[in-house]
Amino acid sequence: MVFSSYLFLFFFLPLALAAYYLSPKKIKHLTLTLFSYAFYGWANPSFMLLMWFTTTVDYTNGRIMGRPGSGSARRRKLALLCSIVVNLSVLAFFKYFNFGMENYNALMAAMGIPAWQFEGFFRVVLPLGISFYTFQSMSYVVDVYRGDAEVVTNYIDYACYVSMFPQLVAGPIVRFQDIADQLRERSYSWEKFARGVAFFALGMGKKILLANPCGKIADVAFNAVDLSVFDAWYGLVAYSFQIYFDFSGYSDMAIGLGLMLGFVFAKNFDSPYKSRSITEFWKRWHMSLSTWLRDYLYIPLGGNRKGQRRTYINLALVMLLGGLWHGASWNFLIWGGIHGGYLAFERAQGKESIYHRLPRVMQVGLTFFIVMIAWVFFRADTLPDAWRYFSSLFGGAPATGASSIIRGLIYNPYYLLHFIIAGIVVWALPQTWDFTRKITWPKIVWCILVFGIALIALTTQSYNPFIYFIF
Amino acid sequence: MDKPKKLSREEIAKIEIGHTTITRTQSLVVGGLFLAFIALYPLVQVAYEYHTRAIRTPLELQPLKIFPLLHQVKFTKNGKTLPAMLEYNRSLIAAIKKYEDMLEDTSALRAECLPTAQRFMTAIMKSGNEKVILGADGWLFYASDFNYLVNPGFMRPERQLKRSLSGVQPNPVQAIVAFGNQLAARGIKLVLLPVPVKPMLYGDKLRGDMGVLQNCSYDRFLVRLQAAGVTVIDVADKLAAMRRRGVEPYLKTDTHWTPEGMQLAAREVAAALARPRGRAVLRAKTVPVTALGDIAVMLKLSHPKEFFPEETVTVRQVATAPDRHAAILLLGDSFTNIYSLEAMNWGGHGGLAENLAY
Repeated sequence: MVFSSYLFLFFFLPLALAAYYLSPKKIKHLTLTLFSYAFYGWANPSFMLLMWFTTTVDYTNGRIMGRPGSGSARRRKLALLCSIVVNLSVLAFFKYFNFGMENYNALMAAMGIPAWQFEGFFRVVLPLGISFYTFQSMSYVVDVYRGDAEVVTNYIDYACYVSMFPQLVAGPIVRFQDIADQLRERSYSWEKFARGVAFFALGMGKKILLANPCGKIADVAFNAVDLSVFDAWYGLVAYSFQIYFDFSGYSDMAIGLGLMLGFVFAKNFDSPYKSRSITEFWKRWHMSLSTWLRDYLYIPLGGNRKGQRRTYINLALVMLLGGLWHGASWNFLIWGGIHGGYLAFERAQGKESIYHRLPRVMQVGLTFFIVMIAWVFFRADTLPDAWRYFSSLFGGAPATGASSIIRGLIYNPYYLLHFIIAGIVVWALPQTWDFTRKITWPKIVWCILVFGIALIALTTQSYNPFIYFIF
Repeated sequence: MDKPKKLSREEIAKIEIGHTTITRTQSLVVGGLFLAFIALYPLVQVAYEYHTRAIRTPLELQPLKIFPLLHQVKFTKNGKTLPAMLEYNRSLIAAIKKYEDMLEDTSALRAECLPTAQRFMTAIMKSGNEKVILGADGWLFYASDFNYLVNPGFMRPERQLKRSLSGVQPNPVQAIVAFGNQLAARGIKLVLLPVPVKPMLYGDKLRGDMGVLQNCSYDRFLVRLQAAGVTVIDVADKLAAMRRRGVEPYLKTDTHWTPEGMQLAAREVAAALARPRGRAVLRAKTVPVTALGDIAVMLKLSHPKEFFPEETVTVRQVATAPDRHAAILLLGDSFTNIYSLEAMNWGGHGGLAENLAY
């Protein structure tokens, strides 16, 4: 079930909101949890069990850590270790088992030992949102261990925090300490609800009207065998737009739904393509993930406190693992490595880009260029596909006859128009947070228009999940 | 003096949300309109279904069909528990998917908005939909055919791996050779006629190159088949030559070939098979047939003929009937059925089988 579907918009959401607001305060969290589990189980009922399992493990370990008494330091450490091992094992199995087997088989084949290969091994299905909720749940246990969060003594409250449907399958990653007070007490108002509606409408517009058309251009370009230089760059820019609007659109919808339920989630995107350096890019892109990596990986590794060399290593390592978090493939590792390498390089320059003396527009352009180059690895299905795409980008591959026909699709007025509008929205229009800070009648009309057009456009599109659902 | 504590992103968000500039009236209008819309739509859907589908009881309403669908999924344990549970889970997922597809396909919103939206897309945006690609000069192309050409080679290992997940033989050469061997064991020789998809011969209508375009795996596919002893009749070049002579081998708004294209293929197959003529004298007559192409129908426009006129073709109908003792068994898809089966709207008794016999 995706936010931009009839089922969610016209059946699930009204039922969920009605049940939530009609529930007495004592069982609001239970109601929300039940609806969230139904939302999650809709994709695959068995996944509910997995989420329930990790939720229970982390809740229990949190309670163990909260128990006073002798031996509590050792007990707390064991509980923390248990949580981390369980969560990472679950993540590793579901996410990396297939990747591991494929690489093992490839290695055995390369070494000429086919007898040691596992042919026809069962393929593990990746549960929706597992990367998000395991990180979210793990962060609670770490925070309790560090003393940054209080122990939750109500299982339903904790289950509600982990499973909350607005941000369950694709973030933002919400840390318990940041939402604990809202779980205890939160305000409801028509102003909050209205802003939530605005977020939701604009987010839906981003997804349906911008991400999807740009995504079609990108899909055609990246699936084609050999492209002309122009087609390849057009496809790559389109993908850059797609991933931004897809993910930020989802985040806006998640934030909007949270507001409708009385929860305030933090901003997840801050106009990242206006960044003037890669360092700045990571302060603006998927902020909930980058701060999670900073607080739970980079800082425990030593951060910048162990000398310059170690700082660069830490940056590179965190981004490598960040890449791997996105997916089980060498492509994601390379993508993370590019960003990690560049972050380390800019750190050596004093957190500035090498081109920081150039005019702002050039800094933004060059940063966008670097980000786009890295996106090739993120989008390409395989490593050879990524190299082939690079070849097309820089004129190394002649466009084959078959690929020439893609122009008949990706340059039609529909796709060209949406591509141009996407560019305007990225660089010239305010982001959702700024746009909705002051809501006026013209803005209300605009939101209604965007929502209405998105709904009508939805009738012409079939099922298209959000990109980050696969992580 | 202490440094002011840096606010977290969440704290900033809470402050920000608490300072939304919006009047009470505006909040009520926005919130009220949204809630009214999402809550009233299900009622609109119900009214729409009662009006269009002659519903007798509420249980026949599409939104409520989830209950009978889920009820039909049974947990049957024949052997081990885990496989049975996995199978039950798979069946649940299939039922849920079926329900969601049904809901979308029968929604009042789609029924009312799609024709208008598609009309705008076609007329102004020159765009089709997920199944249809608009070419130049009113030519329409099926997206699946387009994807065949532009996608990575179908013989590539990762493509085969993807296909293998569906439980089929992923290597088309192996599948065809295996089939050929089974036939050979029964004394039947397999002859393969891979029918070109329309974009292969009409690249110029898609701003692409002219000539015969092909998926990059095709040559390897052909070489391997021939090496395995399978006879392949490739008519792509001949159909392209036909086009160069001014005779269209494919219909403008349909996925399939014209009668001329099909008859060329029939002649090529007949020549390749070189079977002696039968004793029966077959009578043929030409009949004009006018219809709208299947791709135009896929656009789901309320008045497709406004954009795409019907095409008239001349079908050569042959007075013949299937013969269970015939020396040739023809197995094919819609390219075999067109002009043969009336249900395809392009007339009958004049398809590949009939013309091959003729």
